[in-house]
This record gives sequence, C-alpha cells and structure tokens, in this order.
Amino acid sequence: MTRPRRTPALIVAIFVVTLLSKAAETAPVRDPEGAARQYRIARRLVAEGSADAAAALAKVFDLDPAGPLADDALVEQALLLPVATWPGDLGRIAAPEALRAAALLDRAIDGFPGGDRASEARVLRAFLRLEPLLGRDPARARLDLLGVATGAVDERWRSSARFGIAWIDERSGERERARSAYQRLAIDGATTPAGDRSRARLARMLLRDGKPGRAAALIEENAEEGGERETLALRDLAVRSTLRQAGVGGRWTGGTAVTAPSGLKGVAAAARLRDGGLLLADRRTGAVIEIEADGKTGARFALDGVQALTEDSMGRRFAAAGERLYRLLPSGPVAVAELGAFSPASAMTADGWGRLYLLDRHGERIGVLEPGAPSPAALAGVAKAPRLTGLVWDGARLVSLDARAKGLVEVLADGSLRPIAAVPCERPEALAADPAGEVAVLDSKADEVLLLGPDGQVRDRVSIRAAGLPRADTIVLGADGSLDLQAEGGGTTARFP
Amino acid sequence: MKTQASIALVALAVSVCLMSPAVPRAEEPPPPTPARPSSPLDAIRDDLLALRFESALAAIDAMLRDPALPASTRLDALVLRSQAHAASGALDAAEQDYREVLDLDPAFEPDPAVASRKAIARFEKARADRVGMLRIDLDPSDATVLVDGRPARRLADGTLPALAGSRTLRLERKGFDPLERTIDVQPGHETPFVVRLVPNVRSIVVRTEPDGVLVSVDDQPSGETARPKSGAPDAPAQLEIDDLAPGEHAITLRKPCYRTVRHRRMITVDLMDHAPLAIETVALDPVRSRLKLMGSIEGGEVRVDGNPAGTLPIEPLELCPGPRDVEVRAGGRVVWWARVELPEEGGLEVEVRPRPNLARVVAEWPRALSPFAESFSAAPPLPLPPGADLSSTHGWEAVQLPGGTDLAVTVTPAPGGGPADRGALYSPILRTVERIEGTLPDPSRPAWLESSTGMKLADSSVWGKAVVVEVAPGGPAAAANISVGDRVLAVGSSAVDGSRQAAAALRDAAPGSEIEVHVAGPQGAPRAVRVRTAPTPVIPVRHDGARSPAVVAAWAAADGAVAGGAAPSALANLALLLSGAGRHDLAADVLRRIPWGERKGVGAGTGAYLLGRELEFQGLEADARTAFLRARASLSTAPDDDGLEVAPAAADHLADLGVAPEPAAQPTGR
Repeated sequence: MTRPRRTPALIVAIFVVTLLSKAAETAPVRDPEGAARQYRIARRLVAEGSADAAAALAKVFDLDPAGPLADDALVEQALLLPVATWPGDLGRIAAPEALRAAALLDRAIDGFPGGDRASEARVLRAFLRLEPLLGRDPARARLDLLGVATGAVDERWRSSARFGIAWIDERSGERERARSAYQRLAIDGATTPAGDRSRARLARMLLRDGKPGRAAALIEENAEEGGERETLALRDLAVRSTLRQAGVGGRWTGGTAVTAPSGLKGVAAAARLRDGGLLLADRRTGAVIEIEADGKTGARFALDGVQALTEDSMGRRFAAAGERLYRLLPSGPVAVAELGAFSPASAMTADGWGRLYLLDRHGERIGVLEPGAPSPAALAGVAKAPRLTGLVWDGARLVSLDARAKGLVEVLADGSLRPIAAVPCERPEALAADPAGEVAVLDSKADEVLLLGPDGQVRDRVSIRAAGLPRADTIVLGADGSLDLQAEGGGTTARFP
Repeated sequence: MKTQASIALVALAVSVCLMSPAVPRAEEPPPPTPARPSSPLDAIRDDLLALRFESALAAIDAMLRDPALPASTRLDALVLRSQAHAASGALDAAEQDYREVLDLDPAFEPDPAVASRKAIARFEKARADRVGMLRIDLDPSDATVLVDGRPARRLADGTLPALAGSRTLRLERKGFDPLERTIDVQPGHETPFVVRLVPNVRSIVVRTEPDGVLVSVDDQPSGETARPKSGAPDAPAQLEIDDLAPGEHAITLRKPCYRTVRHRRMITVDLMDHAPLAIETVALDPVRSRLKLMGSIEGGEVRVDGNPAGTLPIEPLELCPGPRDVEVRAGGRVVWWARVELPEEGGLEVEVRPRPNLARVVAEWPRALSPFAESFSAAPPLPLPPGADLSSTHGWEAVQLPGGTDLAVTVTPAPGGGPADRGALYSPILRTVERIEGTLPDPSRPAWLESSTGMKLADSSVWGKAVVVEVAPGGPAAAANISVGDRVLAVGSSAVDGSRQAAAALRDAAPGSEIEVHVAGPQGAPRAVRVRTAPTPVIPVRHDGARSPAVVAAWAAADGAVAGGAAPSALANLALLLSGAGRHDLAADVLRRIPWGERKGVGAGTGAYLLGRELEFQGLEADARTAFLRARASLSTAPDDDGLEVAPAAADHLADLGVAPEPAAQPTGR
C-alpha cells in the first residue's frame, strides 16, 4: 500500500485557480439587466429618429456582448446607416457607412449564428454586397442569399432572400430563372411585401415581353393600393402600351403640356427621374434644376458645363460636366470620377447595376464606369466603331444609334455592336428609352419623334411642331412613357403625356 | 301452598304476556320484529319475569311521575302496571289502572289470555263507567275520524269507543270537504252516528283509440292511456286521472303520427256517485306532415331520427308531425343536421346546404349569440367540465366532443346580457385554440367560388380608371363584346370608381349569373352589356382579416365533403389552413383527395403545386419533385382562374430540389 501523492494534486489546484483568475480578468463584464434597460432607450431613440440612437445601440452591445440583445443591437445599428432591406433600397449608403455596416453585420453573423436576427443579418449583408460601391460582389451575394432561402426558418427573410436572388438573376440576364422565382413569390406569398415586389418585377418583364395588359393587371393586384410612384408610372406605361397595342389610344398625340420653369434659359441636357420629375441642365446659367412631378421647381445645383445627366435605377443622379463626373447629392454636387478621354461626354446612361456608360463627343468611344472606380474604362472594340449618337439603357440592353447607317444598335459587354433594327428616319439625332424597352428617336430632318418597339417597329410618331416648338435637341422618356422635348438654347419643355 | 301455586301460575302467564308486545293495536299492522330496544320498560319486564313485583311496580310508578313521559310510553307503562296488579291479585289497583288506560285509549281491551276473569270484570266495570260506543255510518267509509283532535280507533265490530261526555268528531278524506260535529257520548251506551261527506274533486277516465296516447290536463302531463289488463281485448285504452277540481279543464290527447285532439270538459262532483267520470272514447286520426328538403347536396344520404330516408335530391318525405332529427350525410360525415318541428297541418320546407357541426361547451349559451350558433348544425350545449382549461388544446382534447365536430366554442357572457366578452374557439381539425375577445368571429360561409369575367382592369393617371387591359379570348367578357380599351363605369346599378372597386363588384356577383356592366369605349358612348360570369375557385379565399381560421376550416371540411363545384376549392383551402397550422401531413392527404376534374385555370396542376409544397415541408423530396414536375407541365393557375401560372413557380421549387429547368416542357405564357 502506497501513500497518495499530494504534490500533483496541489499543482492541479494551483493551475485551476490560476486559470479561473485569468478568466475573471479577461471575461467581459456582463450586465444583462442594464443591456435590457439600454435597449428600451435605444429603441425609443430609433423611433424618434434621434442622432443618438446608434450610440445607444452600441452601448447595448457593450453592456452585454454575448447577451440576448447583442445581435439586435448590431443589426439595428447597421439598419441605421442605412442598410438596404430590399434591393430597391440600394444606392442610399455611402462607402464608409457600408464598411461599418458590413463589420456590424459580420459580427452579428459570426457571433450569433443561431440568433433570431441571423437570417436577417445574412440577407442585409448580402444586399450590402450589391451596393453600387467598390467591391460589389453579386455572385457572393447570391450564394449568401441562397443559404438563407433554402435554410432559414423565418419566412420573412426566406422570402427576402428569394427576391434578392431573383433580382440578381434578372440583372444577370437569367430572365427565366428570375421569372420563376418572382412567380413563386407572387403565388406563395401573395399578400406579403415580397409578393408585391415580385408582381411589380414580373410586370416589368411582361411589359418588355409585349404583354402590357397582363403587366398592368398584375401591378393592380398588389396589396397596397397606390404604391410607389415608380410602380404607378410603370402601370401607366403598361396601360399606355396596352392601348397602343390594341390601336385604341395610348398615343402621344393625345395632348401636349408645355412648361417653362422660371430662370431656365438654355437646356443642354435632361433626364427623367424615377419619381416622375425632370432634371434639366442650363448651360447659360450654369445650373442643374430639378422639376418635380407636380411641376414645381425643386433642388437647384450650381454646376457649369454640364453635357449629360442621368439617374440610375437606384435613384442616384449624375452629371457629366467638363472633365468630371458629379454625383448630385442633396448637399450639392460631389465629383466622383474623372472622365478623362470621355470628356466631354455626349451621352450618359446607367444600367441596372449602377454602372455608368459614357459616349464621347465624337460618338466613337464608349466608357464604362464601375461603381467606385476613379475613371471610366473604354469598352473594348468600340474604338473603331462608326459614329454613334445617343446612349440609353432600355432596361435590359445598352442601345445606341448608328446615325450613318440609320440603325439602332445594341452595345454588347465586349464593346461590339449588334444591329437591332433600321430606323426609318432622315436624320436620327437623339435617343431615349422607357422601361418597356421602347426607344424614342429624334429625327431632326423631319422634326418628329418616332417610338420604336424592341423589335424596331414604329409604335408611335409625333411632330415637334405640334408641341409648338420650332425644333428639339433633347428628348427624354418618362417611366410612364410620356415624352419630353427640349430645344437647346430655349427654356421650354414640351411634354406629350 | 295453593296461594303460592296460583301466584306462580299467574306469574308464568304474565311472563308469557310480557314476552309479547305490550298492547296489541287494533287495525294496525304488526310491527316489525327488530332486536328489542333497550328502554326502562324492558328492565321492568325483566323484573316481572323474575317475579320481582315490588321493584317493577316501583319503577313503573317512578316512570309515571315524569310529566314529560310520552303518551304512548305512559300507556304502555299503565298497561304493564295493570297486568302486574292483576297478576298479583291487587284488583282495585288494576281497576284504577284500567281507568287511566281508557282515558288514554278508549278502544283498549285487555288480552283475555293473560287477564283473569276477575280482572276482565273489573275492566268491563271501569269501561262501562267511562266509555260509550259510537256506531258510525260513514260515507265514504274510509274517511279518517278524529276525536277531540286525536285519531280514533274503531274496533273490529266497527264501533268507535269514545270517552263519555261531549266530544268533537272531525271526519276527513282527500277529495271531500272535512266535517266537524260535537256529540254527547253516554257511558256504557252505543250511539248511532250517520255522516255523509261532500266531495270536492272528481276523478275521470279518459278513453282513447289507439292506446299510448299522452294525456295532458291543463297542459300538465297526466299519463298515457293503456288497454285494460282485464276485459275485452277491443276495449278502448284508458287512463284514470284522479281528483280533478270541479270546473272546466283543457284535455289534450297527443300521440306521434296522430292528429292532436284538444277539448275542454266541464267536471262536476256527484254527491251520490263517487265513481270516476268516464269520458267518451276519443278516436285520434292518423296524420302525416310533408318535409321538403331543398338544396344542393347532390347524392347526400338523408336520415330522419337516425333511419335512412333516401338520397338527395329527394321527393318530399311523408313523416309524422312533431320534432324530428333530420341529417344529411355525404363524404362519410354529417354535412347538415337540424331538429325540425313538423306541423300537423301542411308541411315544412327546409334549405339544406352543407354546414359545419358546432359543439358548444358552456354553462349557458347567451341568447345574443344565437345567430352565431344558427349558422352551424349546433348540437345542444354540453356542460362545462369542472376545472377544464379551455384556453389550451390540451384542455379541449379532454372534452368529450360529439363525433364529427368541426368547431367547438366556449363563451362566458358579459354581465348584463351583452355580447360574449371572453371565450375560446377550438378547431378539432386544425388543433388550434383561438381566444375570443369581445365578439365571436364571422360565422358565414366563405366564398369558395367567385365570378370570373375573363377580363383584367387597371387604372391609369393618364388614360382613366378601370380600363380593360386584357380580355381572355372566348371568355365571358369577350362574349359580351368588351374590348381592351373599354372602361368599366358601373356594375349593375352601382357606379364604380377605379379598377379595384370594379373588380370587387364583378368578383362578388353570383358565380354563373348574368350581370349588367356599363362600359365606355375609348371614343364611343357608354353602353350596357350583359356578362355571364364563370365560376372560379379561389385559393386562398379572400377575406378582410376578420375571418377565423377555425371557422374557415370548419366550413371547408363541411363543403369539401359534398361533391360539387365548390368542393375542390374548399378542400384546397382546408389544406392551406392545415399547412398554416403545421399539419403538413394532413394537408398533403387532403390535397391528394381533391377531385379536380378537367378544368382550365385552377386545377390539377394547382393541386400538384400545393401538394409539392407540403411534401417539401415534410422533407419528402422525391415525392415533392414528382408533384412539382406535374405542376410544371400544367397550364394551371393560382389563386384563381385568371391568376398566375403555377408552372414557372414549380420550376423554381424544382431548382431547390436540384432539378434543372426544361424550357421545352414549360408552357408558353398567355
């Protein structure tokens, strides 16, 4: 019989005590009750729109970093930045805030993978990857969303993820895949926000497919009566196209409304806005003026030498002026890129991802400006292109006009051109497009505007003189299909509703 | 020696007497013979048996000195003392005892078996001094006689002994007026006394053909007539009803399947004849009522009072009048039930449509909630089980609900008879409990079918409201010459302002009906056209949010059991509700049973799509794939015939299940 050895036991005891004391030193202080109190305060501040809300939420996390409210604090901080909760909300967040939001959401995803906000965090994180910022990564976003769509318990975020996937597919040219997903959401979640949004996207696709009647009816079925201006404009366009298709109306010749905003002396560029408004650049006064949907004069930006204006599908407004590209923010114009070889630009448009395309003044070079890039890159293959006039994104294609060949061409991703249709006019000079894929062409010789369908067939025709204008240099199409004409050097806009 | 011997002999006789009950009561049944009670008299009897006369007499005397001694005990004690005195030869004392006994019971007579002749002579002397006899001639003879307020006994010869002197006699009998007389009783003499009581009620005998007739007098049930057990076999059935007060009475004779007879009868009393009044025989006429069942439960099996009566549609049923339980079964369940009251004259027409079976588990069903119950086949309320927690499914599952219950409810009425203020609605189908706060949910039948016009409308800020933007070729609108570009101005007599209002008005028209629609062309003048709508299933049904899933599920179960146009829609909606309640296996079972038939729009493909979703929920991927492939190959739509095609949506589900799209298999859109 041997005596028990006491020395190893003592060593183990000392080791355990040391470990515990170390743990006590390093473990964060937890105050669950304090966090709960602070969360109530933070929620109130969020509801009030207080500037202190973010700090209050941060304190919730600090008080109990592993507690049940920690993931709520992280996700809600990100929402304040603001992170898009639907793809339609993209474009509102700036790069620094997007970085902070990504960090917050990553912490929520990694730190609380089984938490009740995990699916939401994953969806929001995926949408962040779709923001028109440097580092945009639709492929990664799609993978993240697939994970939520096929695995999440919460139907709300499963639906959001599915909608996000369809939205990406639609922009990636996977139209049938997108259509299936939208249709599934419209059936399975008929009365949900995802269902409404899916119907609106389906309507847009049907409109392009030449089924405007069904598109109009689909929008009408949405649960929310009224809805966003953009959706209502789409419905108007669908009804217009339906009537035109049936030959019972919907034409521009129905009437003209002429507006002459005060202080506007010479229009150099114009762009229609998603909310029904109009953006005009006045070269003589060196200003960009917003005309709101109801005709009132809205924001005014001081900016000289504007050659082109555009608003992308996310509502971001850009002006090409001199050698720079400016983003028009409520606080004023902010230079975001150098135009370089594409200055001065003769036309500018944006695709569904927020990429900007610029046509140089000779109509020979097309530049593409990726979100966040300092300057446009030339599309390969266009260097030897024929002289092009105008550049528009028709919702699915980048379209330009070969003035010499008198034909519409599609500018492909590799810069090559693909003829779409011949343009039956004498001197085609300007282009505009609507969400139905219709393209309006200004014929300066015949002083008329033609509306061509995606197949190149003439769907409408209107005389410039009918509007009381001697001539027109600029044409823009609204989301509702209405046509605006402006003459360079004049301050008048004629609208064919 | 002789004296001692005779004393011993008497004592033996006394002991024999003492072993028997003290005083035999005339006209009284023998008392039961339980174990002898232990009382002071028992101890005295024991003394006497042991010939301890002195101690026995001392004990009796002591007992009789107690003024609170009950009269019957006092009587027994006196009789015992008289026997003791007589046995011991103390005849004077015995005579005195007899006097006191007769004061208490003038009908007393000593038992000659235990009393000596001398003692009996002394008794006779005492009785002759104190008691007279009344020979009463009573009518009715069984009337009760009270002398000075105390019941009096008559002797075997019919005479009634009474103490001499002025006595008050009262004669009573049920059905007669009581009578009081004062009479002077002569000691030792017999006095005749004739009394005839006056009746104040009359019994009657009701006679009927047939037997088994329920007789009510003044609306109070009195019994059923029956054939007399003796007598001629063809004698009428009869019922004797006792003690009717004189005057007019309403007599009602009622028997199922016979015409009820009501008549009034004057009842009088007869001083001479007390026999029941026989009423002439009433023959009841057989009668039948016509029950006409109207409605749309094609093939439904009709049962009346549980007996098969035919299959719907059915000729009017000839039934016995009165309350009848009528039920219609279809799809293996009761789809309609009602307790109807068939009148004797004419008949009854009843609208038979499927409706859920409601169970009410309440202390009392508030009258204010009658409309809710009347929407269903509501069984009589069940009592609230004590201590049951009906706010949980567990609590409800402990309640023995009738078989086939689709919906159960419990409510506690608000004070003052207002609407129910709290309660619970239990769905045995969904296994859910919904709390009731304030008011019960809408009980009405959901619209499984709506009207389709084959046209779509949209508003435009530029081109006007309610513009027709799509017309299905060959559809109702096309048949009515409505074209794209027309605007809907009014539906029926109601002007509409916008496409939503117009669509709702068109949708709400009775499916298959013809409605007048006022339209205007882009340039033309307004015109009225008649559109015959087509029925379309709606999955899920539209509602305003006030609908209770439990109520909708109950209606779906009832309507889904009945073959017809609405059944597939009802069953599909039931499946959606089951799915929403997490019962995906049941939802899948329901979807598999739906008889879609051959129809465009909502149809087999829609069912396959919904089935695929339920199977996907259950993780049955192979089966889900098969179902979605069927949906993808179809032209079916959702949520109605004018809705979206399910094929593309099925393709998206299939992609989740790893099935690549097959563009060639997909139908082209409209």
